[in-house]
Amino acid sequence: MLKERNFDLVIVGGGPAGMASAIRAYELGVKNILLVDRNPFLGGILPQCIHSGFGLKIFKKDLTGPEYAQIFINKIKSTNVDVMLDTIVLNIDRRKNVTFSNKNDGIKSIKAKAIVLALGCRERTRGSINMPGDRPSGVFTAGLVQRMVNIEGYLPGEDVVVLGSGDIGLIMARRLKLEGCNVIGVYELMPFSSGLNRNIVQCLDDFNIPLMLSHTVTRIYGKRRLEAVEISKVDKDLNIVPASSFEVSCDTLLLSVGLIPENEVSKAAGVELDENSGGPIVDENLESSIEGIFVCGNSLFVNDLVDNVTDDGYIAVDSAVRFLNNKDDYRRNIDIIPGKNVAYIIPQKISGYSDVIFRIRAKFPAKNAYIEIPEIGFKRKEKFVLPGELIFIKVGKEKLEGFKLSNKKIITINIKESERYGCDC
Amino acid sequence: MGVIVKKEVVCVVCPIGCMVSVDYKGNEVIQIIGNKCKKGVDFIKEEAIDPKRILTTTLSIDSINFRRIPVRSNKPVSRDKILNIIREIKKIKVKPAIKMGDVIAKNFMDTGIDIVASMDINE
Amino acid sequence: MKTYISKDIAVIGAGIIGCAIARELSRFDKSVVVIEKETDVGWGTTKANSGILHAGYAGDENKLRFKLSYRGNALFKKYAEELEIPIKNIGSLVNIFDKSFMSTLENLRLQGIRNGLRKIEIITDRDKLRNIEPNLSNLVEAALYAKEACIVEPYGAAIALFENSKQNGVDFIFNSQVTSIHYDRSSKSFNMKTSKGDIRARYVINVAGVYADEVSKMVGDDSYNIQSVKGQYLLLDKVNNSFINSINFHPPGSKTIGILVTPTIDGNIIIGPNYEDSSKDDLSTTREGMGEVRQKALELFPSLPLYTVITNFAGLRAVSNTGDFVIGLSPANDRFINVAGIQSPGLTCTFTISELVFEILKDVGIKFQKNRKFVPVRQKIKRINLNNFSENNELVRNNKLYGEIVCRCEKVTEAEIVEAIKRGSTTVDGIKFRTRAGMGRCQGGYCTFKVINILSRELNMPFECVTKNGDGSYFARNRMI
Repeated sequence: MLKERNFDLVIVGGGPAGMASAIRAYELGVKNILLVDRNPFLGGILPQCIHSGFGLKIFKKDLTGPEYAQIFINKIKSTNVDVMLDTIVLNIDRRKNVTFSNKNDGIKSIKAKAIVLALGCRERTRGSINMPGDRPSGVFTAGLVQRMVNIEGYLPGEDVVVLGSGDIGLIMARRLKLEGCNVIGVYELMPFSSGLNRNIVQCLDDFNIPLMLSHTVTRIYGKRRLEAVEISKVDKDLNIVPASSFEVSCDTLLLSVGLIPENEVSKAAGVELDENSGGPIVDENLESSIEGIFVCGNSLFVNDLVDNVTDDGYIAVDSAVRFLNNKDDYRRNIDIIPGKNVAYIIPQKISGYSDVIFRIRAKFPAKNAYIEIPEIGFKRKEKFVLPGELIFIKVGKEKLEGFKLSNKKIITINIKESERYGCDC
Repeated sequence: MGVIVKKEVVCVVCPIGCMVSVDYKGNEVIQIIGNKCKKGVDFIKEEAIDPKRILTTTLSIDSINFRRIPVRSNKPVSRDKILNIIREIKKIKVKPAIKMGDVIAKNFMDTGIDIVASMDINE
Repeated sequence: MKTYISKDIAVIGAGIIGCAIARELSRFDKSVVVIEKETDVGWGTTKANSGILHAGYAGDENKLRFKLSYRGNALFKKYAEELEIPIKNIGSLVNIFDKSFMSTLENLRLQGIRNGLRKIEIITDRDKLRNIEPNLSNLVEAALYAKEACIVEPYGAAIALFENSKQNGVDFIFNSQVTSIHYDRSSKSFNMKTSKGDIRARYVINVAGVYADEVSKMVGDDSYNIQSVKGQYLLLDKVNNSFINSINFHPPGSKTIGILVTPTIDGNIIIGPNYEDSSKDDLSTTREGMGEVRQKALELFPSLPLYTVITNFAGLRAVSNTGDFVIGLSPANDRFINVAGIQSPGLTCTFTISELVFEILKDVGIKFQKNRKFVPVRQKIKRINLNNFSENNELVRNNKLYGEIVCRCEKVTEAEIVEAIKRGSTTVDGIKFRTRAGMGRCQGGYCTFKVINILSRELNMPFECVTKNGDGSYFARNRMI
């Protein structure tokens, strides 16, 4: 049972973002820290990501998800951070009252001086992509199957079709193949895969699992359990090519069709959201539109590497601690606008008084491209642009001096290309 | 023996992902064509002759909070052996308490690699 | 396994009408069994319709389906209270885009007045209309506003009726499809063969939805045919600021009230249904159908947030070739009562139909005595109330599982899921319809494995045997070694 009612810092979510935040807060001397998670264990999504590829940047090692998590879990054990598991945060209000629920406390409200939102993300569903057909069992989002297989210990089916070639779809295609399933193929709506090349090779090529680009599932068949899917080709405008449909018999469909930052609690608190990233609008301090509420991890935008999530956790708490110590951070009133071929940029607002790291997500692949920030005269060559690989641009505050003097309030970031990367790979 | 093998591999060392053609005889690489730089040469050579992968899977564990424990190979394993290893590894039953890094099987199936635990499970 | 059951009255079909009839009969002393081919109640038309209680102005009063709807609305409200069925009185607007339809609206208004409606009016003042429905299209010229229209959860109502019927002695047999019916003249009883065994009853009430005509034919009655007519729906996420306030109809058409846009009682927005003949086992949604629904919905609400769609599904209307409800003694056998062709406004007529059926049974000669142990009230499963902490913590003190939230999107606790299992749910869909777990924006992406674990634990059933909605709809193929 929770004894305390007031905390200096409440961190909502005990995945990599939340854990990094908790550890950093402890190291910086924050006194009362509460870390909350809905699972009976810490780690967030990492314990079910049993594959390797984590920590290459931060630890220079090729770690599995659970190993990456365990490193932070061990660090937290050596702190006095209060950890509350099996607990769901139901609501946060503008005054930073946090309402949560668990078996021992029932529904309780506590007060926080500062909050870090690290709720991760959720998966796009069949319904949200308007997929027609019957409604049998056997249609899953990839993350749900990953949980079922790696944590609960059950295989979903035998003959598997994967829709979506993002990393989670590729990883699960391999996982199911290794467990003896017949993975029929991976179908991808776009003419390119948003997954890492490494995963295409090690998840598909290694196992001769076909990848069909510019194809999608257009209908589901099955009375009780999935029996087949209809696959159709799409053109460059993503319209179905007539007479291109064919049926594939299967009993399991994995949907890897996109991730959405989890923000129900942020919305309830009144935090402003960015419809481009799906997450809250933040400044260079990762502070949201509500003073004292900071955001990091997949709750802010969907990351590619957990290493960056950890870094953002540290940044968010560095800012939170400045906030707790009443250090005046400058008001952010310069808007950052996604320009050509840019899906979203974090942060969406800056003050112009500090260094900024722009995290830029491209919409389409591009070769021999360059990142351009016309308002401050910035240009950087980018040989290879992939939507699946976030672009980081550090802009020192000196570069922003001139811009501030101009009294303009908008900065645009473009990705311009000399050549379009297509299916000529 | 004395046969020259030609293989196409994808270098994944950097995002470009060059498609590289490798000619080799036995364990000796004779020719590499298609790479845009030298960074991935070592990887390309190994990928052609004896591609290796980190093996990860889960084993059954009888614990209060967990039914499965994630495990990994401590070093990359020959890709062609992976399916076989995973089939055999399932026979190992693990009991708590286990710590990340604990060796569950040493030199498994004479591959020279160990299977180790990826997380702590205490009870 | 041959089970032999003998009852006074058998009701074939546990949709909302079947359950309402069962509940009505449970007031009395005759033994009743309800035979249902699915694993749970309300899994036919009941779970896939618009959830509307019409105000009661529509239609040709010579048709039974309209005559029964006039009192149906008021009667439903009355029973909803004792059965704890949530109902919301939000009113309905029949919108027209062209003044030439004014006379149609006026006819409906007059019919409504004749039927006793008190709050029915035609609104031509644009501002007044905008006040009621701020996001309604500017192209709407006028609307018939009927304040008495309500929204309700149709499957929730069926479940309430089922629970109360069971409490009052009605037997329910699931997973039992009636395959043949033989009438034995000497014993004056029907012998029904089902997939689970034989059931004998002196009277049979055929409430078999889209299959009612096939059941009728089993006793040699081919006086009507049922065409199943599919209607597709799209469900939108709960929108915080109320985008829509009332049930909104298109101008009245010839066959159907048309595609409507309405809030649901749970706070979502539902759009649909379209109208297409289909086969009786086809519940699929299609690109064309959903496109039609979207397009018509946008005509009424151009700024409808379609990007917030969370799911799509379809339901089947049972449309009789007689153009009306078929309620009455079968011409082939006067102990066989048909209650068929219950298309719109079937839900509204739930209790007027069950009343009528009871009258028919009395007329046939059954002498009913009161069931002295009849309990009219039923309590719905207690849910946590986010606005009242002390009430919740009282719940948690008595049952810790009220503190354990399983479905994050809809805030459903483990206590409610366990209670739903106690009340008869054995499947994930059964839990969904009783508690709403899995109905939220993530559509079970997070909570499904939790719900399966709870079902597995409570019913002592292996994880891989838990199904979505009965035989064959398992989730997991097998347990990993």
